[in-house]
Amino acid sequence: MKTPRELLLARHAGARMRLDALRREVVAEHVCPLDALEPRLASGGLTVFWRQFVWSGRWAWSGLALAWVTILGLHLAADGPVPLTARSVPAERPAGDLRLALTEQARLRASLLESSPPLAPQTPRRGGGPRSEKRLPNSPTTA
Amino acid sequence: MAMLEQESLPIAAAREGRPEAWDALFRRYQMPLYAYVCELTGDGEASLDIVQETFISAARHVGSLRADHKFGSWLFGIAHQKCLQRWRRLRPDSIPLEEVEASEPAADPDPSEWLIRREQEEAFLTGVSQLTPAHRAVLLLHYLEDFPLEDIAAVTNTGVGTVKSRLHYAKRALRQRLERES
Repeated sequence: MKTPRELLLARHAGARMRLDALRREVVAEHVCPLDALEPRLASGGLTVFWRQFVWSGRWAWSGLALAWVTILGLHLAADGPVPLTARSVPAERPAGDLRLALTEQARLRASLLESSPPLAPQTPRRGGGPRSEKRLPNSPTTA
Repeated sequence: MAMLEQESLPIAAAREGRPEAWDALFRRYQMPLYAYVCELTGDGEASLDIVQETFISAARHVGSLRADHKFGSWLFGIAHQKCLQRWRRLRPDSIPLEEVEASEPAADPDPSEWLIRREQEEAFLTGVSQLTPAHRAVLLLHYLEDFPLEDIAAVTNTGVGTVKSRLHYAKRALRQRLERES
């Protein structure tokens, strides 16, 4: 007498060897042993950090990295190459032009100073001091 | 057989990527999983491929397993989906595992052990093969792993009522066949 389970398993017992081989292959190739990745992480804290925050979210981290690379790529593609002439203009300006411009600015400054009226002398403020220091003539004085 | 689901399995170690834990888990489930897939597809070579794909998928996506004690039904659920995918590739117009049927409460929900005499074995296995795929899937999950109705419903992506109904009719059909044979 057999149970249905025993009967069903016995029917397929011939596949056991191939299933064993298949199982070993999957475990060897597709199970990622965490220990193999962390032999250099000597400290236990680092190991825990690696397991809990990095390895457990490896797909999320990979996705994030991919997104950043994509954004960077799009950014570079949108900017395009900077024209050479635009970068080299200041460097290539001749020194004579600069000297001429400085001389012109100095001349302009001198003419402006000569034509401006002299500053009016400051008139002393009426009352001669802060309001708090003023004393009324009939105010009571404390002896 | 209810203890099958309660046995201590190294799920936590498997989540950490320990090869010995995965080896133990796969060793535990390889035969029932293969029997399930092979009874559904009727193709031994394709069944080996499906079992292999199921194992790979399980190792990659164990993070999506919510409750450790549901590992078995989760694994069978992956295999079931792969059987469906194969069916869609071979016969896109009909998907026997997704038959729609009226759900009826089971009149005989007795899941107790059913011992089969030696002279009935052949009739039993033939009877299982001749069930519709939808009935066969439910019956196999019940007999191979004694999953609760809720887990069978999750594996086959159906309602609990439908599972009860299918299980009832599958058992009745088998019993009738065995009675005829004897």
